[in-house]
Amino acid sequence: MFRRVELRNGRSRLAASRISTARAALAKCTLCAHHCRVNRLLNQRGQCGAGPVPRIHLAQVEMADELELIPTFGIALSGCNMRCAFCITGAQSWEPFAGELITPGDLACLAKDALANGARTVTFHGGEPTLHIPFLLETVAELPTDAKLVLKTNALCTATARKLLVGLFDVWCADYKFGNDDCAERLATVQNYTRTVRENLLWAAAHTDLIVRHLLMPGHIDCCWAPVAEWLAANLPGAKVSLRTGFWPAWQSYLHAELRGTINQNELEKAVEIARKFKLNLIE
Amino acid sequence: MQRRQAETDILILPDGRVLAQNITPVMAIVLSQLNPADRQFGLRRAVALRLAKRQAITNRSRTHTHKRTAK
Repeated sequence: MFRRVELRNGRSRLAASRISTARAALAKCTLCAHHCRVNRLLNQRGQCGAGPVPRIHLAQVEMADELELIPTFGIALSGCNMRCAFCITGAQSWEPFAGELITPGDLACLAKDALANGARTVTFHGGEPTLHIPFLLETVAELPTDAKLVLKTNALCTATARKLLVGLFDVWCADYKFGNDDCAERLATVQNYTRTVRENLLWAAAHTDLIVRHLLMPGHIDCCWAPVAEWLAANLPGAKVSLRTGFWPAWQSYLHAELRGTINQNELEKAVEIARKFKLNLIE
Repeated sequence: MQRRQAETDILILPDGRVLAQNITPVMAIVLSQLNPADRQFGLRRAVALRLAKRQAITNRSRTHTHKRTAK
């Protein structure tokens, strides 16, 4: 069951009312944990490299997400604030100018068409969609109020971003990728990862329906999955956890010896055992 | 926006495992035929078939409406 979005009936108006504030925030961007403070409206580039307007690298009905979300109309925005070596969409996520320019109105039309043809939800993903909050708000403002909206995020956004997003998405599908800051820094060049992600997960659990995703990485069961599972059990008991087992050595995985393969059977069994030990609420 | 072709990425491993990203409804059906033992593909195939059925009903209903309008 979806938790009802706050102000459901006024969602379009709520989104529209925040657009100018969100756009102004790009003048000194602190939407994510990097706090670059660059003026994106003048095309200054922070760590993500994103400008004022996003590009779309994929917009289609998809079935790979969690069962309670599919079929979903997935909208992939280019650009990301992480640099995960194993990124499956590295060429688009690391390059905010990949893909096509499309107006929020046109995108909303595609989404409405998909919904009319049986899509259950609309998912904004990336890259990282929270880099592009003005565009998200403009698009949400054009969508029907009864559409179920999903925000797929890496959970690195700030309180500034969350204030602009609160009440607009039925589900936050948030990644908790690394169980410690060393792996996060080595594989994704992100600092203070665990503190930031945990802050966002706790906030999301309190404000929306939350699904926590963890992609099992070869060689990272003990250092990443086990601590993630332990923290979830202690801090978000009963939270929906989606354990993704389909790692493949994409993009720059070859730079890291342990990421040159896929998850083996032993690792998979161990991961499931850890989930059982911590009584996690695994979803498919 | 130019309508792009839908995309799916597939990786077939030497041990027979099939991994996929950006699975479209049609591809969900194909993947479950490729690897019938895979529970995840099977579950997604079921959803894809329900979607296809619903779309067929919707299209049939639209066709009937158009026919009535034409008369």
